[in-house]
Amino acid sequence: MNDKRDFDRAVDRLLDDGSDTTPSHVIDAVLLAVRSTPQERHFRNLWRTQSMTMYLRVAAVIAIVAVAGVAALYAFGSGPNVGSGPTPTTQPTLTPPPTAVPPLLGPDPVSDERMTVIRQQVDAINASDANAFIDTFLPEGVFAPGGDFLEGLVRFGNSQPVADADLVEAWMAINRAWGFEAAIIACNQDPGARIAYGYGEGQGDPMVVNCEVATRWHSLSMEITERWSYEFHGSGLGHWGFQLLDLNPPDRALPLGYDGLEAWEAWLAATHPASAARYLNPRISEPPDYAREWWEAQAPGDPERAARLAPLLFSAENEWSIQGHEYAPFGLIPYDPAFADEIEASIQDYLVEVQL
Amino acid sequence: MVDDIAEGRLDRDVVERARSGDQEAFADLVYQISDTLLGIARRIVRDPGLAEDVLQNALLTIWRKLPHLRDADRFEGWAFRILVHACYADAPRNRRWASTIRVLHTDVASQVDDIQMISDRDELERAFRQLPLDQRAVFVLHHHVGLPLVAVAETLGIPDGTARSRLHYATRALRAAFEQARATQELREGRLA
Repeated sequence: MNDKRDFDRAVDRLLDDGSDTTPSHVIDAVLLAVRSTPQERHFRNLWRTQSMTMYLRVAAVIAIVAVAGVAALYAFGSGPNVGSGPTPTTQPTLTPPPTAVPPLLGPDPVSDERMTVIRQQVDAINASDANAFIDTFLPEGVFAPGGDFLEGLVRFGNSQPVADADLVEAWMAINRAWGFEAAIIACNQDPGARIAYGYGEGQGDPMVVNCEVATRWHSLSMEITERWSYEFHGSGLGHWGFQLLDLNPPDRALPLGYDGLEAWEAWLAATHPASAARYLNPRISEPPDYAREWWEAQAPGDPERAARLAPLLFSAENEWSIQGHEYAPFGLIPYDPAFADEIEASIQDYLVEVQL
Repeated sequence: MVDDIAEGRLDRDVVERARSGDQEAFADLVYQISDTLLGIARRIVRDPGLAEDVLQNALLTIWRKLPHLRDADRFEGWAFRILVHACYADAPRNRRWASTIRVLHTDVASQVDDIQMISDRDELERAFRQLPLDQRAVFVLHHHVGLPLVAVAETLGIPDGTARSRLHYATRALRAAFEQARATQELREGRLA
């Protein structure tokens, strides 16, 4: 009995050690970051890949992550050198998915003028045309990116003037590498939406338009439906935001969302370190050579620019390799397709254990 | 603990306002809950600096995901879950050596008792650090926060049986370490005598 009491006391001492007062610098840092970190909007969407194999499901997760990375690139701010953008490529026409998807928000119409701006943007993406894309997103002199990626926001801030950065080209290049296409399924005005960004105030009535968009990632052999939100101020486009799919509840085809993947990765490292060492690419801390070399190949004779762009791309290129393309949205699962089956089994083990 | 909102410690209205994007309301929440979250993180990861990193990440995740919270009354348990996942995510990436230096009061017990206490404490600390993070989380939520196992399971989104088994394995490991420390100490005392 004494031993039990002694053990309980020892446990109490183990757990009662130290102070739990949060240092003010920790709270200050959080509150500062919150000021530039938008909240996620809660929305649900129908996932249309019920017949996918698990490999493709994992790939689908990665592609969603890729979309996140795209948003992150936007969050970095983007930029010109518009004359040296990637050559437009011909891509197959994307047809909306066969599954009927209900309109997002109801019958409120969107004016032709605003739909023209949205279509121009989608066309520019499909053509990998950085120039047209920048033109679409430069209605009032400021590129207003979407996304809610803290790293990007902290590093570069939101609403970077286009003239300050080059990442539109980087983003378009990645789109091309992945064979990214987009097609509008339906757009509806959201009369209840809050104007969150307010760029270009005084240019006309603000309006938020939400579009359901089918996206296709050819090199990943998959399609994803996303919601793209446009914030208009008069005729000007003040903001374009991505909203990623909500992967809960768990009967969705995709087993894990963003946080779930991170948690699985942590779980794998903690419980199966040998597997983690095999599946997960090692994290690196310096911009890789290929980032600079890639840019040098895009603009021969300008090594200075290549060196400047390589670190900007680093966050998106670190840690991840798919079909020879070394792209990786930062902070996300480094994934090697060679271990797809084992990863599938591991994710299922994880799901059983944590009951996500 | 999860009933704190109902008991008035966390104002439901503040949670609702923060959920709708009110940064001042979120700041209020941060001030109200950060010490509790830090305490949990510190006890799980066993490293004060890392616990602060975990807390920062968790609070930002809480802010970003607040619109997904369906029931403001469940805010605290939901926040615990995000915190624990932040521990899972950050701890393995930031594994590092850590040491703990404590000052023992010399007037509270006999020297032998102090030595015993140090020995027990160090063995438990070592054993605790060797526990998987998910076992640590259950142990801390149950013994430190005071959540019943059912609430621990609900907070972590795991079955009751899983919570129970994790607690069992954690307790068994700690008890084995404790008994080992006792046996070693008795052996040492026998030699000294």
